[in-house]
Amino acid sequence: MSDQPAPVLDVLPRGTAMLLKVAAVIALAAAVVGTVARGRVSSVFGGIAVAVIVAAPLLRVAMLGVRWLRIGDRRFAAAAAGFLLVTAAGALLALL
Amino acid sequence: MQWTELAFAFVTSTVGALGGLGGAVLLVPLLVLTGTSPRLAAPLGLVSVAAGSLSAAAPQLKEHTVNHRLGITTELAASVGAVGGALGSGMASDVFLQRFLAVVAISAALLGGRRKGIRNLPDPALTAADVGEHIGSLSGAYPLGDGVVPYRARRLGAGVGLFGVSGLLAGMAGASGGFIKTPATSEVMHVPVRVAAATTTFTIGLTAATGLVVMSVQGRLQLDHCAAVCVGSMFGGRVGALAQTRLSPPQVRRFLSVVLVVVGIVLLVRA
Repeated sequence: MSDQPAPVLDVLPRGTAMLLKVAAVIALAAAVVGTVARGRVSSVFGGIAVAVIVAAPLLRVAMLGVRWLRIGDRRFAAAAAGFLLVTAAGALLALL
Repeated sequence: MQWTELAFAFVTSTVGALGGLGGAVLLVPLLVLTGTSPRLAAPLGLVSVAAGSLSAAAPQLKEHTVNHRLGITTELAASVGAVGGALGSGMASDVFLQRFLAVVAISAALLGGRRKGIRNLPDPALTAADVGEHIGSLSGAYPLGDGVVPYRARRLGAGVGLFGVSGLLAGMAGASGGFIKTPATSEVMHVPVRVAAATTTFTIGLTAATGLVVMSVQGRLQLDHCAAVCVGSMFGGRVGALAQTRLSPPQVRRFLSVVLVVVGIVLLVRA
């Protein structure tokens, strides 16, 4: 018999699946308008689509990090925070 | 309307989501070969990856094939590597990088194609209630047919090291690095190929998001072209993710090997 405790299953933060579905629908709708339209309208809706596909995965990581911190899974909460910090640092470096 | 970009994005994202590679490694060479400048093709490749990843996310959550702890732990190394690669991108020539990437892709294909059968077998003691990822570890269980397959990531140091290298190459060459991440997760860390592919689809979305933040600050996004690529990639990503759930691990692995060989040859030809 093993001394190791039985693994405990985790559940995803509430709303993760809904967030991803809604983000996908908004991004797709904006991208379709941006593809069909011309000129400035095309660029505006293309910009909305890009903003959503960038924000959604980062928000997903933030939600996971908060969830893991709350349940005491600090090592992985730190990994999530570290990833978001590296992303922020990359944006700051590009601004310089 | 950008029909060519839309069609290219659909096809490459379907293939990319199926193998957990992302479509950029195929889309960017196609765009460059048809006249788009590499400077503008690279952000379109990242839009394709991010859109395909978002599109595939909900179905993969439903299938419980993404291990978020594994994805974020390894992505941390990849993102640090990507920043380092971007900063040091002037130190290696494009030809050297493309040849190196080609060798890595073909080696990964041979490694994956050589193995027969399924490494992680279903455990009859497990039920659907055991499916998911475990708190505090890089392990979990995923559904395969009527059974449930337990897994645990092994050789974390080697896997994280390879992810750092993939990030370094991604930062230097502008590819998403998925064609290194999936084989590294599957063949080095011994994670089932479907979990490896789904987790990589999640992580390459993160890499692409980080890259797009930087490129938007640099003013390199053509937003009307981004819209067309986004539409094609979202449909392609969804089709690829659905197809992935219907194929057996050996089928996915064989498909992945073929795609990697094609990618390697494309890179060698470009170099």
